[in-house]
Amino acid sequence: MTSTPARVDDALFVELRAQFDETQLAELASALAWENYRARFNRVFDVESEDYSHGAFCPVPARSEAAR
Amino acid sequence: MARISGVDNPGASFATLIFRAVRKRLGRVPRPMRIHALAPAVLRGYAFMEAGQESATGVPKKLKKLGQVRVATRIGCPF
Repeated sequence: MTSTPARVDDALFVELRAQFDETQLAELASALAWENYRARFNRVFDVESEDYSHGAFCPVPARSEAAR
Repeated sequence: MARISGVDNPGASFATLIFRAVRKRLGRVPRPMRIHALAPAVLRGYAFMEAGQESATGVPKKLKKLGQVRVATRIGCPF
């Protein structure tokens, strides 16, 4: 859903539906869509890390298009 | 360096309440919230959505956070 264009194919949805009920799917989709909003909003203003994680983790690097 | 700073001392009472609550919880007001405070109507929606997201407990919090880190990384937004 973060890709452009956003794509959640039927196979993925079936997999998700096997793990989560509809209420959980609504919550999960909302959480990820909300992060899309926050991250894109922050990009407009070039907001930098404010270190709320205190260096607690290394972000997962985005895979290249070829690797997807 | 961020392109704009946002609001430091909001005049509107709702924004002041939100800033106070966030400062109490996090020790400071994050810059994105300060920027949202430039548009008070938008700040209201942002604050209520943040509260709603925090209060939803049907999905394990760690799973949601993992997904959110992945989203932020893909978009290129640092944590």
